Amino acid sequence: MGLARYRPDVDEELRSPEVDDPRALDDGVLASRIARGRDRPAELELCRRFAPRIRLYGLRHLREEAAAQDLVQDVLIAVLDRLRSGTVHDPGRLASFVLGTCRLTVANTRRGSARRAALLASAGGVAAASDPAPPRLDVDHLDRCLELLATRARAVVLLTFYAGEGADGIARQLGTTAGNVRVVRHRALERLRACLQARGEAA
Amino acid sequence: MSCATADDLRLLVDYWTGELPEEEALRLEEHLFACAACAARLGGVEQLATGLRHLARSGRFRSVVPPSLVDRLAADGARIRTYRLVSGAVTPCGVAADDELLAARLGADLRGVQRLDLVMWQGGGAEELVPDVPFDAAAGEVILAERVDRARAYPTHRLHLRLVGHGAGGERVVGEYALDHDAAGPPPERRS
Repeated sequence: MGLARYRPDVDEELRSPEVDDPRALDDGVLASRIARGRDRPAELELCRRFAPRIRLYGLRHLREEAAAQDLVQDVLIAVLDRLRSGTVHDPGRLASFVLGTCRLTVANTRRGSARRAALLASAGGVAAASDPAPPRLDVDHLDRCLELLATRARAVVLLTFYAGEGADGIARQLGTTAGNVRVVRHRALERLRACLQARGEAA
Repeated sequence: MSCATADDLRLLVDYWTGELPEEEALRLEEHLFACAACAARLGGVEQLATGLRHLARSGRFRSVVPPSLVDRLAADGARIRTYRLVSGAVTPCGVAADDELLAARLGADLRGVQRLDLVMWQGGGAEELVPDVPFDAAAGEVILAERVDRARAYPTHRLHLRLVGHGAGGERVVGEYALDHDAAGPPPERRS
């Protein structure tokens, strides 16, 4: 009901009690509320919403949990800083802005410690309040599900996710094609996911 | 990109493993940052990957695997007890308290083999068929990785193994092996 009346260009609408829950706000409105003045609930929601995505981006590109966690802090700090200062060109494209900040942060060398310390002092408290680490799987359940896979499928997933081998390399080792490896991998992961869900795990 | 993306597990996995073409990966990243459902789905892939890495590193799997997996585990510091089996011979074996994985390396002539089955049995017991095991003909061996948490509970027994190859010339027994497992522990040091 509240969202149907929502007009983000009208100040009082932004602070309407009917949209007090920041989780109900779309990215653009969230960004606008932060830009209009210190709005801790909106800032916390921004961090809650984007921290997991930044962490996954960090894991994908940096392949290390500690580096990914650092990226989360650095990007959230930078994004909040820009939003508060009103220098984000298009708050309606918040997701693209966060992604762009991720790319820049990963590509650039780290800023000097003094600058980072200053930003942490002004924005780090809010950023640190977010916890991007997702719930962990029950590995005992995963263990039982892994045993249910065919031998070849088990080898493919272990080579992929432990040895870090790509489909081409696995194909050479198993005497098959990369396309076949991808099919086997995909089906194996679907089976693992279905098995975990059948045992009550979210995957 | 629509949110049918969340249902395309293959796309998400290829992105996660770095195997998507760059343009496609960049487009997918734009979508992942804008779509909570797809970001959550990718999070599920990451959890699976992390869980599988944990199981592999802690030796909690039993499987026929290529040498590269065992080599990688060894390089990462896993304590792997290795037994090299020769067809026609009996190899004594056991598990030490600090072993993290057992690896039975079965030497075999795999030339011409297109598909390989492994058959295992104890004494007069029922045969366990492990069909279509992965193998690398050039390496000339098949590696059976066994988890130590189970092996420690085995009684003293003899395990028979047979490799059966299927190829253009039909079916043939590639090798027959035996492991004499001693529940009291391993013979003199064989760790790789």
